[in-house]
Amino acid sequence: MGQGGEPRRVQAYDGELGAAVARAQQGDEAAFALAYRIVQPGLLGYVRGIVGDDAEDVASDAWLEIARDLGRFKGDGAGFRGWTATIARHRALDHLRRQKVRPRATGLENDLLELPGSHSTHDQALESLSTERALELVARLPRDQAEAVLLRVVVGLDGPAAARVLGKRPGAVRTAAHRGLKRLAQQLGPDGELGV
Amino acid sequence: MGENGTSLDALLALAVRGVPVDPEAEGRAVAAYRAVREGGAHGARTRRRDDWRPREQRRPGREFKES
Repeated sequence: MGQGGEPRRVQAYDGELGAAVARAQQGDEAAFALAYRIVQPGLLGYVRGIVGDDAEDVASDAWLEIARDLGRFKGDGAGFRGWTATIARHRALDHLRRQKVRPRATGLENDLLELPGSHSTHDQALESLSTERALELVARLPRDQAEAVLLRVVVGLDGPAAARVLGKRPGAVRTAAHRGLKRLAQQLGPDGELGV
Repeated sequence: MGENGTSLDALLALAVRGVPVDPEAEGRAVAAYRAVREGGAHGARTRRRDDWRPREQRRPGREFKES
């Protein structure tokens, strides 16, 4: 992630997302569907890291609230990611309170996902890691580390936005994300899951 | 962070974003949007928690951190 760690992959879509949200606020339904498609994968991944198997239901609840409150939102594409992540987080925490259980790993088999090819052996080993397994490992981190990693890497928020979603100082979130990624790297690296 | 951390965060981001969206779930979200739009409710007030403009544009004197 690095020092100023901007997730460049996500930023490429933020201009398109901001424009779609503005049109959706003016009544453009296709624009809302576009915003949904851009945001949902990251949002679902984040929610799955908190609640596990019930992620689809929780994310659906979040989208009802997002649709309802859309007119209140002010901000650009990156801001929309932060706003929707905050709504999703509240739904997820409500869900946990009702369930009164800790988030569980999904326990799915390792379906292999097609990921873009790479020429290095190390990268190929990492690429055979399925989405489910990756999120399962993240969900097993201490919750503050899991959320910090998910918000930065999966939702694509910058440091200040992630801190705002979590209600914490940016320094604390940075530390939690760093620790979380380090622990994941240990689990996946030498002597870890992939035995690379 | 080191190479492992960098590859890992790229992997997570790529893996999650490669997951296709469920069309039924999308349909429900769009239906909710349509219902709100038709109810004329999209003109509601922006609360502090809804204001995600860059810091300079937000109302002065407000703290950035929300509980």
